Amino acid sequence: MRKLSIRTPLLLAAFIAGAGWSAAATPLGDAVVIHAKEVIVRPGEVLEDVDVLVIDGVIRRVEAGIEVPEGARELSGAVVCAGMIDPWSVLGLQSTETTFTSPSPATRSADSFDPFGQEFQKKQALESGVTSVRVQAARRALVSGLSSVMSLAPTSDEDLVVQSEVALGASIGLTNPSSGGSTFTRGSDGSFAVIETGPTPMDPFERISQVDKIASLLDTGLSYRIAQNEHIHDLAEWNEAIAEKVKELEKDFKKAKKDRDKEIEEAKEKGKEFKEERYKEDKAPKAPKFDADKEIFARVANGETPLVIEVHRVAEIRNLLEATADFGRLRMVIAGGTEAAAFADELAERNIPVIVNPLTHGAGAFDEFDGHDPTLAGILAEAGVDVLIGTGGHATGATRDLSLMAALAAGGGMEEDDAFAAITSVPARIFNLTDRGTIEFGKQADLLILDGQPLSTTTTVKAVLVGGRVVVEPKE
Amino acid sequence: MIQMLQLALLLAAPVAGSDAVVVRADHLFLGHGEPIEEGVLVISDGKVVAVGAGVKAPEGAVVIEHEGWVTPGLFGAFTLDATGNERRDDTRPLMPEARIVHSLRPHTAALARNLRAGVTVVTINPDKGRPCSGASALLKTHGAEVVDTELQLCLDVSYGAVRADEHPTSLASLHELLDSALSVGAGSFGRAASGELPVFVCARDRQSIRAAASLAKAHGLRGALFGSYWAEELVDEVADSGLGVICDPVAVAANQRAMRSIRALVEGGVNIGFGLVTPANSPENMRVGAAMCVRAGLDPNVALAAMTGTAAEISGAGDHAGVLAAGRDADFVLWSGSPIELTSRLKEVWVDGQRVYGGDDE
Repeated sequence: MRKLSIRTPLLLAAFIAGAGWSAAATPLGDAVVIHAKEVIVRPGEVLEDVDVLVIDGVIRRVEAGIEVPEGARELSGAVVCAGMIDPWSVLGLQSTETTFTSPSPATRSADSFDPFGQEFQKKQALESGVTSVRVQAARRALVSGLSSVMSLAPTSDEDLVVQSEVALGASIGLTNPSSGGSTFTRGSDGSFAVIETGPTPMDPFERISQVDKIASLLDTGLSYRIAQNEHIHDLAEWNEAIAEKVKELEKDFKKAKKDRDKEIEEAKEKGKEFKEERYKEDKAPKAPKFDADKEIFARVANGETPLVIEVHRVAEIRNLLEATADFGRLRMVIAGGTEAAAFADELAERNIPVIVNPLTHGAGAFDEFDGHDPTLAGILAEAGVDVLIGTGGHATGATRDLSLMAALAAGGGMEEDDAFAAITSVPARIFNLTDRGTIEFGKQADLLILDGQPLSTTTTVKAVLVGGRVVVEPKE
Repeated sequence: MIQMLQLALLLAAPVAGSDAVVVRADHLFLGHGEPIEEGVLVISDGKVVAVGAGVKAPEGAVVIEHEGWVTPGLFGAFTLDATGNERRDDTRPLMPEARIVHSLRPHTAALARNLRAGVTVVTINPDKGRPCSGASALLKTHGAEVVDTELQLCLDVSYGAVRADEHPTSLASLHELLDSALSVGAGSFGRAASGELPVFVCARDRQSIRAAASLAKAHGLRGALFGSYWAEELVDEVADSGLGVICDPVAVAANQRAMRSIRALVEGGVNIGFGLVTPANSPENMRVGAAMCVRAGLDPNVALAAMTGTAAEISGAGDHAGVLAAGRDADFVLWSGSPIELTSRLKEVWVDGQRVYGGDDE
């Protein structure tokens, strides 16, 4: 009887979304209640004076006056919002992998993530409110391999990798195969910055030819997938034919056996070798040889895995849009897109999101584009493009400053809610991180407790929860 | 005190012509101190006539009500992008009489870019890397008007100014070279030693910061050194030298030391200004750096002054730029919020009493 009384609310909680909870405040696992003046449920949607209930790492309720379960931890703050996601980072990657220029498409960035390295940078990023990062190794390679989403506060190796094959990375116009290169320096605190060893000017036509290479790789992937599908089809046909032949043979089995025995006898008499009858159905269709790299491009061309392609200049973007127009299922995401404003309408129409990096490079900086226009994110968003904001994938320490980058985009003309969405809900949606990015029932409790609005310079992150665990403790 | 004086001046002589414009702002930052709530800026004939709280608008003046912030035009200390490839002459270690203004390309797009970021005035400098490379100039970004052709005597006491095959070949001989030039006291060196011409001393490491401080103290130099990054442990020496510090640009991903050093300098009583350092950095980066320093604990008002009044003061441009005060050029910026907040938008830029950027879509 006693047991039952404990179990009943559990079942209720599971079936009616926690509505049966208030009846019996029984501890059912690790519970946290956050009392907030303001909860940013999702960008642009704010609930005032409500509580957030987290049980076993999952958001269970967001409403006023939640009864605090026994044994639950209570926290409070002015503003509660979802943990930020840096959709374009190198935080945690081993330095050599960042600058590596010849990975294979099937390389996974998660495998170059050092779970023990860059402790200080990871801590700083977490303390500034970033809970997950999409890391891309080998940014400057034509094909950079698969990017992975990592947790900055894992409890084990298992939840360190949120998704290991989240997108395929590629770049146009960044690597000159014939000259130049890059090295890195390490600061006193262990951070490192990539130093490009001088501009490696690339012929414009050479850059365009990289677009053609990407298109041909997609085509190869598509052919590979078609060959695979054809094989499946052929195999089915073959199985059918075999079955039919077997049926046919079984039907006249006795006569056939007799005929065969007779033929064997005759052959013996004549001193000849008996030849078994061959059926064309004997030969099974051959499967295409497995190729890990082609398999990745097959997935990309087929829209199963998005393609995140870093491209900056007008001519390259134009050519890329033309070259990929026929790949109807391709899910392309542009990274960088310094001069993408000219294509805002087309990008919106074709549902191509852009990861903007509002870093303020000067004209003399390594990337050889004449600076980044702070208005880019706003122009794209206004045209209806899904805009994500990332720290650009070349400095491990940059992820700490993600919210300032979003603020800069807002200052450049983007709506502040859109800029916040660009580092929370939009990256979650574009990269299928269905359990994070907003504060909703059933999502993982990656939450920030702030003393002001998330994009303000003067706002302090008071506490951070990842999967319901308090990973940055409130001070004082 | 200054504000009261200005107010008194205005009450004594409310001289504003019929072309007067009045800007009423929720927050008016004058280039130093605290912002004035419900501040009023009166301009006429390209000049500021009065600033303060409760200043009355002259009759017939155009009144602009601005729900946001007004600040002086931002001050761009240490820029290299208006002189093309004429940034450095490697043939001689000492060129005290060289004037970088002769290399100015007035039509460079870089100036317009600075203006769009709210920077109305810049110092154009010879590049670092020579013991003495002559005088910098002060330039308005709108119209490339040269305000001062001999702003600072530019020195470099870092390793970058040492050559393997040409005197000076060591930090010691570099120091000795500058020390004796300042002692002889001829020409621009003499004017620097007498305190008439401010100096701008590149000091890119700890030895050089110490050398710059000791030269300043020995010869009574005033002005600024460029190089905040390694200054953390040398705050007392810098404070004692009387030099201000133009800070290294603080960019995204900067490590903690960059911000910590700047905070330590301020806490040690040193005047600081943020370096603009274009073209290696975009002009927007100055506000990013200020925001990063504020996140690391720097007082927002000090950070604002380090982009305006204090930066101009330690760059020897205190009489021409960086503050809004009666009699000064009416160079100012209208922002939607505090420039320390990166979410704030630049609304309008005014130079010499004319709106030169923004305001069209209002």
